[in-house]
Amino acid sequence: MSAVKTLPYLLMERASNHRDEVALRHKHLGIWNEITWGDYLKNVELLTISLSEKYGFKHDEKLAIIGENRPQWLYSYMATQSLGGIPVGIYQESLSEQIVFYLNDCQARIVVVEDQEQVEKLLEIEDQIPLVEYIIFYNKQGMRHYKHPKLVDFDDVLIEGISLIDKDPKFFRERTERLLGDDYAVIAYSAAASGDPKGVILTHENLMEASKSLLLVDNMEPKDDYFSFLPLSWIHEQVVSIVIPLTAGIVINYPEKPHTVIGDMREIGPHTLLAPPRVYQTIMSNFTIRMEGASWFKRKVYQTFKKYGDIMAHAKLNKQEVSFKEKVMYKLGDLLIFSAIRDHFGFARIKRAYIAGATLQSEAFNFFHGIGVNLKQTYGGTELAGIAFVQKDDDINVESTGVPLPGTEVRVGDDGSIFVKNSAIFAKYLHEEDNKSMIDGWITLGDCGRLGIDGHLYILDRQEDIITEQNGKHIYPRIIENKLKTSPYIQEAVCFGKEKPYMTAIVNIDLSSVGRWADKQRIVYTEYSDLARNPQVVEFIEQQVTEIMGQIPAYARVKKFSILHKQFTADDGELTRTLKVRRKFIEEKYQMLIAGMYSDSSKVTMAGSEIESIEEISLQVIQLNIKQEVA
Amino acid sequence: MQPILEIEGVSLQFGGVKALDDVSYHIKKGEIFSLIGPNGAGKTSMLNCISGLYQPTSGSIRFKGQEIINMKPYNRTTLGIARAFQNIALFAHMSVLDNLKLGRHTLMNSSAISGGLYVGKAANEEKEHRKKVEEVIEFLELQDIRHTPVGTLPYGLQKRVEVGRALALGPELILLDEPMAGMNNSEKDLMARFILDMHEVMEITVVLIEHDLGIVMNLSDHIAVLDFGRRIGFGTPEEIQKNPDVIKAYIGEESVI
Repeated sequence: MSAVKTLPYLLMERASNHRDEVALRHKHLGIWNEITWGDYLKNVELLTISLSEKYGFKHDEKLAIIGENRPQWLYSYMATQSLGGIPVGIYQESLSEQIVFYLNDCQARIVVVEDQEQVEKLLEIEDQIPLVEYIIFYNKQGMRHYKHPKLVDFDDVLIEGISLIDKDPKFFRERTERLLGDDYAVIAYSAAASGDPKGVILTHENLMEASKSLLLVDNMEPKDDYFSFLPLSWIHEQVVSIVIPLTAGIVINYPEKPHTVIGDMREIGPHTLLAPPRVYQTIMSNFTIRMEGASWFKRKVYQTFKKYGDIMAHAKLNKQEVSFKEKVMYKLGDLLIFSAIRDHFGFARIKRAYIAGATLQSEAFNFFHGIGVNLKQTYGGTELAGIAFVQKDDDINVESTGVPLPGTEVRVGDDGSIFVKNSAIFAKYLHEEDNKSMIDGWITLGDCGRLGIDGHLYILDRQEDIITEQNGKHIYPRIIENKLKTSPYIQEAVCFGKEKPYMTAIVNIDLSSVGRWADKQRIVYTEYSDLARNPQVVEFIEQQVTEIMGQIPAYARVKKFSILHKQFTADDGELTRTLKVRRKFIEEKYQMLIAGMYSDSSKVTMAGSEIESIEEISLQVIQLNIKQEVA
Repeated sequence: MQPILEIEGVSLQFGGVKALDDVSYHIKKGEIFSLIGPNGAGKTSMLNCISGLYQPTSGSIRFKGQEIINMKPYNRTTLGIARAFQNIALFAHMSVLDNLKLGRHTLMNSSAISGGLYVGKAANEEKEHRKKVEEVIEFLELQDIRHTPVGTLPYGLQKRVEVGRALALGPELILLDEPMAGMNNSEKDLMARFILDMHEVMEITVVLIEHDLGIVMNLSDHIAVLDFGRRIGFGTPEEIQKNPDVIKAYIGEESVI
């Protein structure tokens, strides 16, 4: 047996040693269905031989997968790799024109999709994706009347594999043993702040290294549960929910539907979780809303012990000691209420919850540590096969993005640019012209930051976003934005000011918390855009912003801001699919509004065509009135 | 092909009031059939006659060729007729799942004892029922509220559960009495999609009472129009829109515009 390890090889190894152990759980029709390592391998074997013999799948070919997190997603991924092909995950809620781009960019001939919805989407754009020959769907619901020649039922593909495998039982093993560690294993698209996403090619070794080094820091035990609900097209999710189980034997759980995530997570009570900041913020704000509606007694109990939760969180995050009394009170609080809160959100058994994609604001960070959830910031990127920096369990603080994983090197350039090098670093970009961003094995993901004496990496902002004001001082918009977001009433903020006399911001209010505030003030509103433009709300947010601006140096303060009539969404292109703000895009889309904030007008009217709406929308520009500090 | 439901000369009288007067029409298998008409026209009475809540004074109702006019309502459900009510008929304190399971009680055979002890055949039967109910939950996208008491749900969702309770019977013919009443536009669109899927995916024949004529015209294969208990129109949506009697019943007189 060859010793070269690749993902399909690891699957084969794991399945022969742990045939009857559970590998995956998938909730369907209300029941958690278990799939053992033996079943997992069997399905991959069937798919592999069928794809090769019946559908002519070749070495080096790409296969696109569009769907929610399901076992079939993994089977398709592994089968493609077994044949020396490269799987490409495409975010399932991509718009048609995005799908056209991805499919043509990676030149996929076979696309595996979830259900009728995806099939419809692909058939509508059929002329624009001429390379696609087969569309394999794995959810049959509503598919009975489709008779299109390109459509194939996933189950039929598996069934075709059965007779083939009888004739050639060694097929999978032989193909897998031909693979090499530096063969290309996956293409993942990295969302660019502007322009089209870039295809990033990673090898088997890259993925296995990323998994190995994370496991060196955080020991995951066999049969630990992981709850997988972030899009599998995201490399972070692939590493944790596909690669890590192959060696660590953790069990992956897939929710029934996107709208059942909360309940399903509670049923599983995972040991490990990976989520962007937005998810943790939502959990916290849901909790706050529930608590306000709770009985007097419950509120009292919570408030009593919350104090000790805060003390413990503060002590842990700043590495301080707590007094014996505080320890005892916290234990009591844990027994009475914190354990119940954890259980309510599915954190009953949590060992670690990773924050990925961006940083979480300090209030939420403290909240989770207060109730005993070990929340850890990470930093990484598609080019680094996901996580490359993580906070260690006994070394967590609110500001940092963690220390480098074993084998990861980091250096900060003169201009503050962060350069990273490790063995998980990607092989190359799909297109040559993108390759220039890697120099001598070091890559910059475009962020600026500093290395602390504690060895932690602190991110300041994206390189291109840093503003130098007249006196040569640097302003980091991201830090101001995060400051603004510490207000529970501000969901998102984007600051501007490059080559401008002062800083400005576009703000999204938080619908649920501002909505609650409005209820109490007896303000009547119909929907988001109505609430966001209500004069009392505007005044209230102005107070919030003014207060926050008082905490930062005068030269970096936002002087004017505007509350947008709509929330930023990924569908409208303002956010990436992992919910990060796309500043360039927003700057372009709302240039009228931004220009308005640098003029004397107190109102900006945007024509319907600019904002994809029928009517004109006019937004108020709010000028803050903060006394100038005497330096 | 033989119609799935044949209504022949059905009349219904409450004392001196004629709720239905010699109404006849046929419903083909697999179609979406709508009953429309002004308030008090007899639409709900008509459904009551089909489901067996009312006994017509005269006439004949045949389901798949079989006369059902003297049959008890619960026997009609086992034949394959299910009904969702206009005023939601659910148990407010029971979960969505339990309400749907209760919808299948006429199909349950095991005794109270074996069911209570959950042994042998009863256990298998329970599993089978749960599976059927879960299919409905998936179809109507109720997964996240499976264990929520019905009474705490917003009205639009309760309506959907009500339709689900009828669907859980696995009927061949489903009677929907104003499933979209009181809904906003996006809820209506969603329900319309479910109705189309019932017809296309599950191949169920649908009889629909609905006031939103736009939706009726879009969804229906055939429409019967009732006014004061009489059938004043029958045909495809295009035919109905041109029918002078229908226009008169709805607007009072022929529109001059």
